Parts: sequence; C-alpha cells; structure tokens
Amino acid sequence: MITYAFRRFLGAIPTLFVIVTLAFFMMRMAPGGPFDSERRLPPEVERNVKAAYDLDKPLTQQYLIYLGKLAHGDLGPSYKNKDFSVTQLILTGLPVSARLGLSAMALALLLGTALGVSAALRQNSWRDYSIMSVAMLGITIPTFVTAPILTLLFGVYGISLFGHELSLPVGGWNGGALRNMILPVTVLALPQIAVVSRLMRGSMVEVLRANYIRTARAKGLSDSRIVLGHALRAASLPLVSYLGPALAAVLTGSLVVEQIFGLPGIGRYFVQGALNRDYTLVMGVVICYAALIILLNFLADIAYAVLDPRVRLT
Amino acid sequence: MIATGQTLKVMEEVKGRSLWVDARRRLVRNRAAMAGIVILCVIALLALLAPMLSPFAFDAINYDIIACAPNWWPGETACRASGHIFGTDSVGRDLFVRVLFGARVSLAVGLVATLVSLLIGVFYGAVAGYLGGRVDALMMRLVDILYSLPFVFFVIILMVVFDRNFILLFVAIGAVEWLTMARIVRGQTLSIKQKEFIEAARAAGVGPLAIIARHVIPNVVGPVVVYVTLTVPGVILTESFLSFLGLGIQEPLTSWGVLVSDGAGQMETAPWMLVFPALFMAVTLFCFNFVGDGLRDALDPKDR
Amino acid sequence: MAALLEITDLNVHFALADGDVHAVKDAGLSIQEGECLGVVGESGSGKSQLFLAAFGLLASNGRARGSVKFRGEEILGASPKRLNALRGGAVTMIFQDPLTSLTPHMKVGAQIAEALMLHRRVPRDDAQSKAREMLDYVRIPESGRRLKQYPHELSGGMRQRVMIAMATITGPDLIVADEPTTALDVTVQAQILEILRALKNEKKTAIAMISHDMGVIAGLADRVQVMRHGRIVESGTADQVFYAPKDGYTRMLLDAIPKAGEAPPPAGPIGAPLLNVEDLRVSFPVKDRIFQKARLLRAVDGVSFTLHRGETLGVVGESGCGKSTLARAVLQLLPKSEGRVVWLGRDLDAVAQSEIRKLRGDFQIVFQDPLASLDPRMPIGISIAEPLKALEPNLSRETLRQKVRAMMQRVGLDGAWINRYPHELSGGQNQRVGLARAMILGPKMLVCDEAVSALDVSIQAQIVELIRGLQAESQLALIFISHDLSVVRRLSHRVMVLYLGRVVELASSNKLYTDPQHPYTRALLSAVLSPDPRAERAKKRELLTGDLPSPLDPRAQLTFLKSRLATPDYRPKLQQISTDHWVAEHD
Repeated sequence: MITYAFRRFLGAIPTLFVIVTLAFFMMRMAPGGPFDSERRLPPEVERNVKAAYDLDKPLTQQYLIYLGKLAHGDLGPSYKNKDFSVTQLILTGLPVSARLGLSAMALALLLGTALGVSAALRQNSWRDYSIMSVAMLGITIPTFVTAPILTLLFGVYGISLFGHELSLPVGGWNGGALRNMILPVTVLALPQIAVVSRLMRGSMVEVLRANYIRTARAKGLSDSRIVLGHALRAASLPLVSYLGPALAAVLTGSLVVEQIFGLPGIGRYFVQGALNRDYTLVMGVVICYAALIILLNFLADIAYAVLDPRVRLT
Repeated sequence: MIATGQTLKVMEEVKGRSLWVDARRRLVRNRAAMAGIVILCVIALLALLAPMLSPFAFDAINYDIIACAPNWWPGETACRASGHIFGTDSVGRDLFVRVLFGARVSLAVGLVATLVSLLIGVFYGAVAGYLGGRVDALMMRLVDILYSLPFVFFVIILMVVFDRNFILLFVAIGAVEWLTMARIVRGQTLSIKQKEFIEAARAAGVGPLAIIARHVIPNVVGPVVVYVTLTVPGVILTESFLSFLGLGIQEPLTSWGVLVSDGAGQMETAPWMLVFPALFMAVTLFCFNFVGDGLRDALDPKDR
Repeated sequence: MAALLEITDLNVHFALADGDVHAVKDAGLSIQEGECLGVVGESGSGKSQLFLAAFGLLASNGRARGSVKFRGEEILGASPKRLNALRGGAVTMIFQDPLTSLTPHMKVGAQIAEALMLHRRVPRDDAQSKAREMLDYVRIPESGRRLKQYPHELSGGMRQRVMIAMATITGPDLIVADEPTTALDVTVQAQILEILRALKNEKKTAIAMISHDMGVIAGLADRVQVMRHGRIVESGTADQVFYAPKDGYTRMLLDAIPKAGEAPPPAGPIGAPLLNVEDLRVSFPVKDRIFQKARLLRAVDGVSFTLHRGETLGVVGESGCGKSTLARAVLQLLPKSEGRVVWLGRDLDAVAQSEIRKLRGDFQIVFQDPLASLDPRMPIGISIAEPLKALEPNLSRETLRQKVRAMMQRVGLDGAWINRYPHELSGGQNQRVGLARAMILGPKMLVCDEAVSALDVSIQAQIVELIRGLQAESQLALIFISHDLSVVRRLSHRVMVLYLGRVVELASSNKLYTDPQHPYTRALLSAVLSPDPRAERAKKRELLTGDLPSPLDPRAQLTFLKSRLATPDYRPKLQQISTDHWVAEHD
C-alpha cells in the first residue's frame, strides 16, 4: 500500500511538469506582449523593462529561469498589476475560489450520490425516470443560463417558501457569508450533481447485478445491509475515478460563476490575465489549478485503493 | 439451364440476421431515440434552409425595433415587432433567423469538432491498443496526465493567443474531447485483439492488415458511433461557454452560445431573447443524448 | 415424515426485451431431511431458476407461480423479512463461480461470520472463531491467516471451500449447490465433492445438487430428477434413474457419456512422423510489482513427442499445465523460447514467416469457445471461406461458395445456412462451423484445444463422432487437448499427461487407463466420475491434497518427488518403463 501511494505520488510530478511547460510555451507563442496595449515607451526604457522581466533572453532560457523560480515558490510579478506579485494575487483570490469550488464539489457528491443510488434501487420506476430526466436537464443547460434564472427566482423576485420570504443576494462575496454563497454554489454544483447521479445510478445498477450480491441475498441480508455493506463500496469506484475530472469541471465552471456573481476569486484573474496577455498571472493560475487537480487525483487514487483491495498489488 | 440452377440455389439460401439488423430493430423500438432522430432532422433542415425561411437577413440591424417582443408574446412588454415571430434582439435584428443561423454554426461546430476529436482519438487509441505492451502503457499514461488537466483553460489560452481564429476554434474544441475517444477506442481494440476469432484468423493465415480491416474495425465501430453521438452535445456546450467569455464565435456570425449568453444578460427585460435560442439548444442537446443512449442500448443490450 | 422442501406446480416466467420466456414449467419435487437430491439438466433446462425462484432470488424481470413449502410453511411470495430470515439460516446456497460470488472488498473471515452474526445472534469474536473452525473443517490450511485475506488472494478451489464454509456455518437444514464444481479443475472437484459428501453423512444436511454432469450426481445423490426445457422429465432414486431410465431424454444423456471399453479409435499411425517436437520450452517474464526483477513463468518446460498421420495424441492436464500454450507454440501462433519443431522434416525455425503463412494450410486448430472463435459480424460462410481466401486469393466467388457449401454438408450443417450469423446458431452448430473452417484447406494435422468442453454432453458425443469421421476419411493427425479424460479416451491412440509444463506420463491409451504409474495420473483418473452410482459409492479415491501449486513456485516441480527437495532445481526425468510407456520420476 505504501509503495502504491509512493508510485502514485511519483507519477504526479511529470504531470505538473507537462502542464507548466505547455502553459509557458503557449503563452509565449502569442503575438504581442504584455506591454503592447499601453502607451508606447521610448526604446531604451522598453529595453530596460524587458530586461528586468527577462523578456529579452531566448525563449528556452526564459523557461529555465521560470522553472528555477517556480522551484522556490516564486511565481513572478504580475505584468499588469505591477504592485503585486502573482503569488500575492493568487493568495487573495484562492480562498474564495477554494471555498466556492469545494462546497460545490461536496454538494454535488452528496446530493448526486443520494439521487443516483435512490434511482438505482427502484430501477425503471417513475422515480428512476424522473431523477434521470432532471439530471439530463442539469447537464444540458449551461451555467450561464441557470445562474440568471435562479438569480431572478430567488434574488430579484424572491420566493415564498412555507410562508417565509426567501430572498438571496444577487452578487458579491461579503466575506463568504452563507447567504451570498448559496446561489453561486448551487449554480456551480448543478451540472456535477447531474453527472454524479447518472454515474452512480449506472454503477449501482451494474453492481446490483453482480454474483456476490446474489450471494449476499442468499445469506438473508436485508436490502439496506446489502447496499451499505456490499454494494455501495464497489459502486463508488467509478465515482472516485471521476473526482479529478469533476474538480476540473468545477474549476472551469467557476470562471463563469465568479464573473456572473462578481466574486473575487482567481477565476476572474485568469480571464482578465488571458485577455491582457499577463503571462505570469495566467501561468500562475493554471499552475495553481493544476496543482489542486493533481492533488485531488492523488487522494482519489489512495481512496480507490482503500476501497478496492485488488488494486493494491499493481 | 445451368443459370437457372444457380439462381435457384441462391434463392434457397436463408437470409442471415446480422447483428446490425438486430441493433436497428432495437433502436426503432426505442421511442425516445426515434423521436430524437426526427427532431434532429427537422432542426438540421431548418438550419439548412435558414435564409429561405425568413424575409429578414440575419445581420440586418434596425434601430427602430430594438429588443421588441413578438406580437403573440403574453403580458406587458416595452415594444412589439410585427412580422418577427421570435421578436428582435438588442440591435433590432430578427431573432428567428438568427436562431436558425445560430443553428448552422452550432451544429457545424458540433460536427466538425467531434470529427476532429474522432480522428485524433481513433488514431491514437487504435495505435495504442494494437501495439500494446510498453507503447500502450506509455501512450495511456500520457492520456491519464492530460485527463487531469483543465483542458478548457488551454483552449482559452489558445483562443487568446491566436486571436479567435475560426478554424482554430473547431480544432481546439475537438482537442478537448479526444481523450475519452482515445480511451474508448483503445479499450475496444485491446478487447477485440484478445478475442479468439482474431487468433483463429491468424491461424488461418490471414495477414495483419486484413485482420485489422476485416475483423478489428467493424467490431470497434459500434461504441465509437455511440460515443460520437454523445460527444456532440459536450462540444456545443463548450462552444457556448467560450462564447459567453467572449472568446468564441465573433460578430456578425452567431451561434446558439452567443445568443444564449446575450439573452441571459437581457433576461429581465427581454426574456424572449433567451427563451428561444435556449429552447433550441436544449432540445438539440436532449435529442443527441437520447439518440446516443438509444444507440448504446441497441448495440449492447443489457436487460435494463 | 413431512418433507423438508415440497415444491408443487412451479412456473417461472421471464419478461425479456425480445419476448416472454417460460423457464420452468409445472415443476414439482420434494426433499427429505438429510437426503441429497440431484437435479440434472443441460443448459437452458431451468434447473437453477427453479431453486432461485423457490427461495425468492429471481431477477427483477422474473415471476414465479405455484407452491413452495419449507417445513410445511408456504414461502413462495412470502414477505422479504420472512425470506431473509430463512435464507442463510435454515437454507443456504453455493454458486458456480466462486470468484465473482464472493464480495471482493470484504475479508474472507468477515463474510463467513456475517451470516452467523445475523441469524444466530452470535457476537463478533465468537463468530470469527467459529469461522476459523469452519475453515479448518473444509480443510483450508493456515486458517488463521486466511481469515484476514481477500477473495482474490485465494485460489479457485479455496474460494469454493470458503463458500461451503459460509453455507455451513449456521448449521442449515438444506444446502442448495448450484453447479459448485463446474468451474474447477478435476482434481479440485474431487476434493470439493468429498467435503459435500462429508457434510451429508456427518452433519445430516440435506443437499440439492444441481449439475449438468451425470457423474457428479451419481457420486452424491440419493434421488435424482432430470430436467429438460423447464420440465421435469424423470424422477426416481439414483439407482432407478441411472440403471433403468424410463424417459428417452435421460437415456440419451446417459448414452452420450463416454464409457470405458468402447469402440477404439479408427486405424492408427501410418508412415513417417509428420511432426517432431523436441524439448520445447515456452517461458514468459512475469512481474508482480514494478520494481521487482521479472520472474520466469515456464509455461512449457521441456516437452517432446512425435505425431504420425492418422494418429491421435491426447493431451491432458489441468489449468496451468501448459497444454494450450504447447499447442499454440507448435502451430507457430506463439513464439517459443527453446527447442525444435520439425514439420515434415523441416525445422520450422529455418522457415521464413511468409513461408509459414503458406504452410498454415497444413495444420489447423479448433478452439474451445465456439461463439468466441467466430467473428460475430461475419456470416458463417465468410468465416469458413476465410482460410481459403487467404491462401488462394484468386478463386472466384462462385468456386468459394461451392467449396464452402460442400464443407458445410460434410460437417453436418445445412448448406442453406451459409448467410447465417454465429449468434443465430447453437453452440454445437457453431463448433461445426469451426471444424469446417479448419478443414476447408484439407490440413494434415488438426489441433482441438478443448474443442468439446464448452458443449452440452449430448452435443459433445456428436462432435466427437464427427471428428472421428473426419480423421478416418483423410488420415488426419490429431492433437486432442482436454481436461476430460473420458472424452480423450474415445479418440486417442496415445495420451500425454502434462503437469506444470512437463510430461509426467506418456503411454498408449490402453496402458494409461489400465495401468497408470505416476501419482498425478492416478489422481486424475480417480477423479473421473462415471454415471454409475454403485461404482461411485464403492470407489476408493486417490485424492491430491491442496490445490495446484503456482507455476511460478520453483519447488512445484518436485511435488511428486519430495525426496529431491534438497536440490530444488532438479527436474524429474522422463523414464521409459516399457515400449510405449514413459513415466517421470516420482516417489
């Protein structure tokens, strides 16, 4: 088990490496540089500034310098927000995005699993069909449609629920207050709730057909014992494999959600940075996201091995 | 006389019931899938005939009727535009014809980008699966690495770098989906390779190229077709996502993604700007999903 | 005395996408306390569904009607709570495939103890020690260690013992055993049946033994019922059914089983040897973990034999003995590591790959699984024509069709089926297609790799007859690989017994069956079950202890020569003890 974890950990390093390299060269391939849109600087000043940012050196050397700084945790200065280094910017935005993203993931996993398992236990019933249809809705309607709809319903017009006025703020982070988080987290989680519930339903149906479930029934175990003790663990395996891509999808979705709800997370920095050709900022954000996903993949691999003893040998 | 004898022999041979015929029968019985196919054909037809279906050009701006509801729209609206059955957008263009032109672009993006991912994925997956061993392990390791990347980020960077090049958009979106296609093709190739009838063909003296062409490919086609059908909705959604961020289709061309994201912003004042394109897009995506699920059940039936 | 289990007028229907299936029709049976009822039938007879339905274990698209009384209480349609209390307590079940029938992520001890804790309210620690007792009872060595292992860490035979332990721990009145030994090797099957016999005799547990193998039933059952297409066609005591069967189907089943002393195979070896195999070795590197040095799996470890025209060499052995690998290496479908294969005097190593492709017309192979060896998307006519097209690409379509139809008729298939697909044909018919494909080039040698093992007994007999006929016609040299000694006997002139990649005995068919020398051969022969209840009851069994050792274990070769364990690299040599009889050294 330890060797397994160690090997998985080793495998994560080339991934990060590939990402950094890809991002670096892609940004540098862009025509134009970070200073193009500003006032034209006199040539010597421009040369000095470029030298200060190492932009006058050949590309491969810039790459190696960047790698070196990266190893020290230095993501470099932001080209646009010259008062801040990328690391600082990321540190302000990361807590917001992290809370948003992880809450959405948690909501998606819990609700999606509950719905999927519930649908699988009553396969082909009305409950099954209705849950799966709603799930399909969640997958096909993009977040920038659900966001305004939900905002209108709960934010602008407000809804009366059991006699209570339910009105949520339509934007702003407000230091992470719960009321401000409800709408963005829900909007962000919706597509993943749908995907997770479809995944769990399919996986659970598959597992319930297995021979060892028949043996468990032949032993006289009750339905709940079978599901909780025998089926759920095996059925969760595809879900654990999906955790990494799920986080990637949530991070992608957060770009839209942070924009719509005006949340000060790093997604916003990414979009702005991309449009402004702020190389270091974009790279920094991509590396940050990638590191998160890689970490989650690693944890997911460990979880998979815990759930399925057969894998520990590989 | 001989000719008659031969014809008689041919006629008495029983027609076999191939697996494709079985699958087609099962597909036809699946009402959701059949409805999906019909609706998709209708939408495709509408998209093709777009210019002939409306007297207005899709880029004809008319500042007199900006953001006006169609005549039949219920409730209070700031203004109404007669002759525009879906109303007008924020610069007075006819929404109906724009939705149809958007259909053209979105469907085109869907099909072309899926084709791109199909080509890359099939080639990569087939090579990895067929060669097997170390090469396969290495290639799949690369896929595992790339799988954990937030691919869309790189697409965004690409779109920024190359300044929203239209062709690049197709290629880039297709590049997002090729990973799963490669995995599926490789999985199928591996499992086919181990089947006994491949060994039997080798024992019979059939050459490797003939084996691939006659045995491997026909057996891999099924799941690939299913996955292709299920990839199109994802591609259309990715395009709409990019359009929302301003990185997708550019004016004056339009796609459903552009229309929906514009409409989302106008939801309170001009809801028809959101409703119609969103409806078309959602219905199309639903249909692709139903057809894809139907194909999957038809080709690989497990008693559900 | 009231019956333990009484089933009357049971009908089971399944609602499938393609229509309704009536799987069990008006079935009735009874089982008394302590009695063993054997239920025999081929595939599709409904024998398993009968019991699954009786105890409420049908799939969700199945419906059962009728009456099932356990100790006088009606349980068909009883509440889930009542059925759960019954199952695992008074009535337990053992299934066919122990790997997929055990929960992969639960430790073995926990799975066994679970039933006891639930039904007898035994606390966890007591249940665990009882589980250990049960493991000892089913003769699993190192029971304490095994308790904490997972199913995939155990071998097939051990897993089935675990299932038996799980089924016995609550002291049930009735055990339903559904094809419990079908997936196991013959020597392991013998051991498992021994345990079941002990259960019946010592603990007086009633057993419902479901099997397609008449020999298994003969050795265990007091009473027998024969099922066909969902109906019970014959029932009576074991002696009645086996010695005086009333129903035509039962008679046919009994006749189809190859018996000792039947017609010897036709003719015999003619002329010079076609094939000379000298000290063939095939090894694979195997790595358990990525940082480990690769170990060598010697699948075939020095096998030599010759083969003449018109002669049949039977190759027998259990899983891991290397018989399939041997066949494929000889046919040049697998690369060999050492040794020579000489065909018609030419060393095949010296022949170029393109030449070998042309030579393939001379030696062909028929595979075990008829459906898997045919491309499901090709009509059988095309599959049969494929070798011909590969060798002579310039033949016209009409000539091809004629040759294919002629071949189809030769193997007993209707020529009009030339456009049919494999899934439209039965297993036996598909195997005929496989034979047609192999024979269409008129080969000199045919390899049958477990060619009849996947077929029902009645069909097996037909296919074996077909092969005999084909051999007689063209003086075919035949290598017949099987784990089933009785089938091998019908066809073979000589028999070679393999164990872990080496030959332990090679003799003429007669000598091997009447005077086996090597302990492994004797165990194999002893494990062969005959449909003769009296003989089975009286039989003295020579059982091997434990499961087949892993081929990776270097000392495994000395299992029968333990006196030489001091030199673990020593390989027992093959010694000739008379003309036509070679035996490996043994204690």
